[in-house]
Amino acid sequence: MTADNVGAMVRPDAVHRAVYVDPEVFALEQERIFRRAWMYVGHESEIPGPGDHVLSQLGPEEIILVRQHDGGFAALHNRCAHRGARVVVEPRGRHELFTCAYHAWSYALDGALDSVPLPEGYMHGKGLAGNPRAQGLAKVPRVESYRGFIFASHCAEGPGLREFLGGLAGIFDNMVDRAPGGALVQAGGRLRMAFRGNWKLFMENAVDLVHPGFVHGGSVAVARKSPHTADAPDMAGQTTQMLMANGLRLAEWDQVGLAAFPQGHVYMNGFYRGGVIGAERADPVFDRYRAALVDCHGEAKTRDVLAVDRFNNLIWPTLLVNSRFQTLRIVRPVAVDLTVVTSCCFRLEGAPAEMFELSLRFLNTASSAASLVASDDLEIFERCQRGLQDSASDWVDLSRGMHQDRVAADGSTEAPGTSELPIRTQLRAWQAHMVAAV
Amino acid sequence: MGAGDTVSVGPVPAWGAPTGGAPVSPAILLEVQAFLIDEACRLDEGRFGEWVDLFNEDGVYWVPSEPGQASPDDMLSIFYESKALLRLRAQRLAHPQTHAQVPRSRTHHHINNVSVADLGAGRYMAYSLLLVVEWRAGEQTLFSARCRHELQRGGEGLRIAGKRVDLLNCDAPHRAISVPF
Repeated sequence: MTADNVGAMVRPDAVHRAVYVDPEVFALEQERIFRRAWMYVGHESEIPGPGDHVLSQLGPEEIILVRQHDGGFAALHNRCAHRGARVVVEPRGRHELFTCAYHAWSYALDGALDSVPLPEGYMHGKGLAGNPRAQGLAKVPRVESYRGFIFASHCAEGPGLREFLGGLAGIFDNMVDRAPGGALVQAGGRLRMAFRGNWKLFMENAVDLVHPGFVHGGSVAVARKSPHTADAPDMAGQTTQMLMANGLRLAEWDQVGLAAFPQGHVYMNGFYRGGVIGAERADPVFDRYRAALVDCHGEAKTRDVLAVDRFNNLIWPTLLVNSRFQTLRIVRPVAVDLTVVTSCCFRLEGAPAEMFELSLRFLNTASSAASLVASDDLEIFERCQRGLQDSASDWVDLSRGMHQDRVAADGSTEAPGTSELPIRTQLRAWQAHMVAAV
Repeated sequence: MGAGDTVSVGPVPAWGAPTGGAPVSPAILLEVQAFLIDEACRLDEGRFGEWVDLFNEDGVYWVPSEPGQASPDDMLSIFYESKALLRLRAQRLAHPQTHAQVPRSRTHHHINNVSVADLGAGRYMAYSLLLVVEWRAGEQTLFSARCRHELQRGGEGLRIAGKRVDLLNCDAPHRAISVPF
């Protein structure tokens, strides 16, 4: 099967291995998924004032995400309109103008061409006025924020951000509502890990609840024997509790609900019970946090906000959100067989400072390249990538739990935790994008 | 913290800039070098439990995620582990279901440019450059780092009160890291 009949690569209960290993399929994904879909590019707290900017990635293109003088923001292609050099090279900064180092063409915050040395030398003495080359840095047509989370799309048309987020928009509301001060601040830097495998392997695994007992069996076994299984809110306590949580029996994973949405988004419910990682805890720090939240929302809403207990919230194609620990994981497809995952977290404004340590330790434990958990996942992804090169059979079965799908009142599909519904859902969205006319 | 600040020994040690402290005698320098070489051998030979034994009970192992990172408490880290967690890590490396180590890594921990400052009261700060060459599953990977060992002399000789490893490419995307630096 070749990229020409890409639509036939996904069946209701199976997927063709080319979807993971064929470089032509990957090239087509760049055009049909990553130049169209809404994707997360940054948080408003990263660019608080006019001229503040960060470099980000929107599909195959590097963009400059920059705060405007009017408080809005723009996403600009990082390519000089003159000779094509990358204009901004530092990952973050504040500028009034972006000036290319090559021939000093400079651009305003909205990308408009500000000045050019020797303007009369261009276009046979007519200058650059009115010339397409004078249009400045190319702008990404759609950039929008939802509750401070900025998404962009290379495509001028298509569903708006709110419609695209659909049933998963609420997870951003929940993360913001967890801040007694009503706002989140991205903090703590970033962790990056890489694997020699296709990006979809990571996204599918994030909502595959059969793998933890097998892939993470080693860390579960040693954590269970550790003396640090008490509820002490120390660093060993949180990490040990997180490791042990992966040790549910299959029947228990089945009780962790899954919900899937037409856009390809999926969420899995939480599975952390008790201890410092439980949804509510009994310790002085959490008491102070909860009291601040009640001051902000009142008791009833506070209870509702804290009751939202979901683990991975997958915004198709490449974002994973955890509102309880205030984290994002952003997946970047670099090549058909190379993926980089960047993790970051948020400080809850108005919360005790100690609450942020919970987020940091969550990512230190779960998303570092040296993680006792993730390192085993990364190894499995590389084994899948190697194994899928084998041509003995072209089809990968995805039928687990198909007979258990239930359509819920809100139009989502629900399934028990061990179902492969989340993988089928993502691949259906993949197929819909890949076959749509460009 | 800046140059000249005191260096504390505790559950969350602070690491100063590589200045300060008094010079040490050649005998102490040799002793510290021998300690670092012994530590490297324990890692290269897969004796991870014995590596963890080199830490004080309240010792901490830290690999920051950003160059010049000031603290592990307000920033993400590649490793930030107490002795209890290091012990857990060593036990996991010995567990047959640790897929990330099937097959196992082979490593060489090269130690260079060692200098030592005497912090008083039986405490020393050792500065070194570390080059780790790792061979696994048909591929060789290099890590270069600057290390700071805060060492404390006790009944069993020198022990690690804190070890900070600043990888040259700490902020790069890394594939799975299993063997500590």
